[in-house]
Amino acid sequence: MIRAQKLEKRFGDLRAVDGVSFEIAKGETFGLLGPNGAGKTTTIHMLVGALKPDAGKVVIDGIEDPTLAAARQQIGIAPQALALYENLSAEENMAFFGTIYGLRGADLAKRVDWALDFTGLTDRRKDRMKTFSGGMKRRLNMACAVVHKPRVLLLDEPTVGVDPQSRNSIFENIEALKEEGTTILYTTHYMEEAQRLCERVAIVDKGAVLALDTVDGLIKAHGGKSLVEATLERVPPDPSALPGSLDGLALRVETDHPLEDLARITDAGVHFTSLRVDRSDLEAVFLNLTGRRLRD
Amino acid sequence: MHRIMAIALKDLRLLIRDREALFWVLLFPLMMAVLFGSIFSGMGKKARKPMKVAIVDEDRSEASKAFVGRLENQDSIKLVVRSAGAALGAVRAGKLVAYVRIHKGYAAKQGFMIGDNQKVEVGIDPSRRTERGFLQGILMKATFGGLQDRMSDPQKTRKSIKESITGLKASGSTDPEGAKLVTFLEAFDGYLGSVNNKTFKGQMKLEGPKIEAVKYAGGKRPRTSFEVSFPQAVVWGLLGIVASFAILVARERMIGTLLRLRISPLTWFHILGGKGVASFLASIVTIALIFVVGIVVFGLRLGNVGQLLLAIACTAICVTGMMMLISTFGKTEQAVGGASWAVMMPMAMFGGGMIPLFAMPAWMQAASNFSPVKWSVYAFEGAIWRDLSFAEMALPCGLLVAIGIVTFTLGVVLLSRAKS
Repeated sequence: MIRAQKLEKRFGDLRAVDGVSFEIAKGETFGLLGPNGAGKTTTIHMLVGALKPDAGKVVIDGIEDPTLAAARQQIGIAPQALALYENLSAEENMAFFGTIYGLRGADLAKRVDWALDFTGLTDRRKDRMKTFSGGMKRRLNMACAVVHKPRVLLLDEPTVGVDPQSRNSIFENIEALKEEGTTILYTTHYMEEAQRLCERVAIVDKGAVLALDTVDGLIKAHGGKSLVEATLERVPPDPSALPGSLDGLALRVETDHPLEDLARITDAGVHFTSLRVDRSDLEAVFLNLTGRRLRD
Repeated sequence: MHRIMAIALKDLRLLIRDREALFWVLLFPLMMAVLFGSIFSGMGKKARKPMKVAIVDEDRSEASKAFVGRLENQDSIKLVVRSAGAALGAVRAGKLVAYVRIHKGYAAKQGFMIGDNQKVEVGIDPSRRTERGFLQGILMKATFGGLQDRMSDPQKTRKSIKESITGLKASGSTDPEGAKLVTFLEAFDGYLGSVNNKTFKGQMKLEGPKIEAVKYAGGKRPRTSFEVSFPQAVVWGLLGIVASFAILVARERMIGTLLRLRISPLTWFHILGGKGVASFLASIVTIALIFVVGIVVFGLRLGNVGQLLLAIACTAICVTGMMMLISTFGKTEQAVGGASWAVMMPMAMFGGGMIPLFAMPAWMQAASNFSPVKWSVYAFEGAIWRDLSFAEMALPCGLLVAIGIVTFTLGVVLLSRAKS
C-alpha cells in the first residue's frame, strides 16, 4: 500500500533522512520508532508530497506521485502539531476537512456524526476547539484525519502531551481502525505504544532505519536476554540444577526463554515467595542499536 | 468550486469570530467616519460656535457704535464688551480669539480718501491662524459698510470732503497733483450741494463685484461632510480586512493548517482561490455595512449605483491582491500584523484616508498618486457625489484592478516559493 524507497532529504548540511526504505502492506499497522529529530516527520512529509525528496521514491497504492489528488484522497493525516482551527467548533472543523476531501450533504453529516462518536466528542460537538483540553484536541486532530474514511492513515506522534484517559481512547480508536482494515503508519518515540499497536516497527535514528521487523523479531535480534529475578521459599536439595546464579534465596537468571526456564524450575518442585520477569523490549533494542536511550 | 467556497466560508467564519479583527474592520472605520465627518461639519449649524471677540469702544461715537453694530450683525462672531486691559488679558489667556479696539477719535478721523483715518486695533491669539484671515475679512466688510453708508448720504459725504479740502490746504503742499485734487473735491462738493437729498439717497454706492457660489456644470458636491468621511471610513475597513486576512494566512502557516490543506487533495489554486474569494466577499460586505450605517444614520447618498458597484468591485480586487502580498511579509502572525500596518498606515495617510487630500500640502498630494487608498477614495467619491462618468471612473478603477492583479500575483509567487 505504501512504499518508501531509499528516501533522502537534506536541509543544508543536515541529512534529515538518509536512505529510508520500507513497505507497508494493506491493512498493516507500521511503526516508525525513534527519538525526536530522527527524521520521522520529514519522512511522513515526503510520503504525502509536502516535501520533495532529494532522492528516492514514494508509491502510494501504485501511484508514484504522492502530490496527485488521487493519492492524497486515500490518505488521512493527523499531524504532530495540532493543525486545527481553534475558533471553529469540533463539528465545524470536521465538516471543513470532510468537505475538502470531497464529502457533501448527507454523506458529510453522517461521517461527521460517526467521527464525533468515534472519538468521544459528540457531547462537545458545538464547542469551539480552543475550549478543549489537550487530550480532546488530539482526539479532534485524529477525527479530522479519519472523517473522510481514508484507506491510509498517517499518525505523527498522536499522543504527545495527552492525559492517560485520552491516550487510551486514542489507542482504542487506532485498534478499531486496524480491525476495519485501515493501513496505518504510526510514528512515536514511546516504545510501549509501538509495541502495543504496531505489527512491524522500523527503528530510526539520525535519518536512517537501523532495524526493521516485527516487535518480537526486533527484540529477539537486538533486545538481549530477559531477566528473571525470584526469591525462593527454600533452597532446593540440588541448587546446581537451577539456571542462573543463586545468592542465598535470591535467584537471578538471564535468558532468551524466560517462560520455558520458569516452567522447568517450578516442575522441579521449587516454589517462589516473589518473582519478577523483565522481558527485553524495544527500549533495549534501541539502546543496543545506538548506545542511547530513546528519550536521551 | 465547492472546495474553494469551503475555504472561503471557513475564513469568513474565522474573521467574524475574531473580535479584534471585527473592531478594525467595522467599528474603527465607523468611529473614524463619525469623528472626521463631525469635525469637518462642525456637528451642524447649531453646534458651530461663532468666534468670541472682545470689543473695546473707546470712542463711543455714533460712527463707532455703527461699526460695532455692523460687526454684531455677523453670525460668525460674537462680541463681548471689555475694557482694553481685560480684552488683552483674555486673548493672551486664550479665552477669546481676538479683541477689536476702537480708539478715541475714530469718528473725528473719518476722512474722505485721505489721511490717517479710522483707528481700529486688532489683537489676535497667535495660535488661531485660521481665524486671523477670517476676522480680517469681517472687519474689512464692516469698514467698507461704513464707507458705503457715508457715500449714500450727500451731507455726510460733503462733511468728509470739506474736512479733506481743509486738510489738504492746511498741509501747505505745492504739489500740482494736490492742487488738482482740491479742485476736484470742490467741484464734487458743489455737485453734492446741488442734488436733492431725498432722491439722491441710495443712488451712489461703493460696490465691488458680487461674488456668488454656483454649482459647476454637471457637477455635484458632498451634501454633508459624512459623504467625504464615509468613503475614507470604507478604506479603513478594507485596510482592516487586508491586515486580518494577511494575519490569518500567516497564522495558518504557523499552526500547520496551511500544510494540512496542502497535503489534502486541494490544489494551490483551491487554497489561494478560497482565500481570495473570502477576502473579496469580506471587502464587499464591509463596504456594504459601512455604507448602510452611513445611509441610515447620516443620510449618505448612494449616488450612481452602477458606478458605486464598480468602485466596490475594483477596490475589493485591490484589497484581495494586497492581502495576498502582505501575508508574505513575515513568518509569524505578529510579524505580518506589524508589517501590514507599517505598510498600510502611510498608504492611508498619504492617500487621504485620514486627512482629505485638499487639506494636504502639494508634495503630499503628489505622493498620494502612489497610494491605492487615494484611488479607492476617489472612485467612491466619484460614484457618490463627484458625478464622474464611466470614462472618468476608468482611471481610478483601472489602477485599483491593476494593483490588485500585480500584488496578488506577487503574493502567490512568494507564497509558492515559501511552500517549496
